[in-house]
Amino acid sequence: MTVVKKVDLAVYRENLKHIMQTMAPARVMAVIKADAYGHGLVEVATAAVEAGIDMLGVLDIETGLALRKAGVRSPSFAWLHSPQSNFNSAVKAEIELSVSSLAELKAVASALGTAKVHLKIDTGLSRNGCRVENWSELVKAAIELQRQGEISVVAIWSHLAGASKEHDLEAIALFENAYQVALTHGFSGYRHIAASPTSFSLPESRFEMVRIGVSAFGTSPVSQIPAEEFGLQSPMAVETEVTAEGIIAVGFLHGFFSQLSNKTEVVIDGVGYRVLEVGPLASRIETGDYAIGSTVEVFGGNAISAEILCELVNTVTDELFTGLKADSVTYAN
Amino acid sequence: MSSRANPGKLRRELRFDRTIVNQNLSSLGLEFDKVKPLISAMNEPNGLLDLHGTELLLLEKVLGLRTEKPAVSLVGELVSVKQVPQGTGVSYGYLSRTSNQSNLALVALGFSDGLPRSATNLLRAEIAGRVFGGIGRIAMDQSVFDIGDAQFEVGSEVTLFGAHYSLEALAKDSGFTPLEILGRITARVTRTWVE
Repeated sequence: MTVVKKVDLAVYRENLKHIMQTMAPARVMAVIKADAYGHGLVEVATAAVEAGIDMLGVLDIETGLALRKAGVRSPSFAWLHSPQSNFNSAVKAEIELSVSSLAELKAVASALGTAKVHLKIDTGLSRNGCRVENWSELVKAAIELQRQGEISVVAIWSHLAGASKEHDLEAIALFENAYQVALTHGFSGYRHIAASPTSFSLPESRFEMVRIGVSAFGTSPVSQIPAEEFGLQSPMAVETEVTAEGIIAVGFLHGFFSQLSNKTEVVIDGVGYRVLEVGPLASRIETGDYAIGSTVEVFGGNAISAEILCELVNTVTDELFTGLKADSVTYAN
Repeated sequence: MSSRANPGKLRRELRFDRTIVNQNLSSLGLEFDKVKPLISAMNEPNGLLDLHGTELLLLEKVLGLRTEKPAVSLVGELVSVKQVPQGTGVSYGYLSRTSNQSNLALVALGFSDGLPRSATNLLRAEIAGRVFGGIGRIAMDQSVFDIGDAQFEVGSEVTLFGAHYSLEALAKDSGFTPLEILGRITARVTRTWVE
């Protein structure tokens, strides 16, 4: 076992508790898609529930079902569906479902049981979500199905594009209009639109619930401002070992970007060494006064932070975290 | 191919073509049985970590990773199609806007499936034999394509790299190597084989 991903769940829980305090009275949905941003789905979900989170964002139904199978019973929300998605299983497992269109509404309503539905409006991101011009029709149909007992419309929601503060404020205004339209049709649920960035930077985006993903894993919600200023710490560190003079056992097949060649440093016994070349399974580093078999800190811990590492190759920590392939994962509680 | 590797789940497939693999093997003068460890490695999300340097070089040749016709493709599905007006900003940061009234196709594959985030605006999707360009920032779980006035059913299969846009081309566009991209494909993508 060479590349070890170390995840400190206590740090994750502390981040969430701090976030919950900051966002109150808005509730916090902990988003744990993509294997909890590479930190381990079940372990992180369990930690989130321990921290007091009462809604998990799981992206898709299969992730929600995997949690149920592992014994995590917390309310969960899935928003990316296929026509093939198993809505029956989702409703049976009490996974709440996003609906963006009349076709999706019909499919979800026809599932056995009463689906809890979050209607999604597109306020400018142009991905999922109902277009503004079709919104009234969708809400009306959903509320009618609620009256018939087919579904329960628990929330309306959207997602911000983060192009600028002005654009986000415009999107929030569209969202408020959509809420007014929903009210006229008899909607009585809650609202969520903010993800990590605006949950912190734009309090008017919080409404009754915010969705926090990567920031709970120690990534700053606002670029240029360190995560620590928001009270957030990183729960992950990656380590490997020296396998020969100037050679460490981590490469691009472990998710250590090849573009990091000549850009980053690793730490051995508290001393930094430049990474000269990243190969498939090993990397060449500066030679020095270290022994074969020594532990190498790749990022996190005493080494470079994940965020700064990602800045070196012009990407975001989500891509680093989700692309990591370690030989083993260890958890601290 | 319309059958599902994973019924009831979103389609996210890393699809290997046995016919191309066999062609590559025969031009290398190798029997299929000789490369069984490589094949097993390809079927596991972390499988490449168990190979040695020489095996990785052989794998590149067996899969034709540096050719126009690789034996591997990344396949997803359309999860939404909607018409938007000219000038509509798409995805995070509005890095792109539609140049005409367009249908936007949303595909359930993003960088946490292993698609390079740096290929934003450079991706090419093949849907029913037609090729369309990516528009806007590749997100963690989703990417968007401008399909103009084309119309496809939600659920239609979409190929993001493969015969129409090789892994080599994607690697050049994104600053990765083909083997690196292959290695980055994550566990939620199902490994499948076609003849």
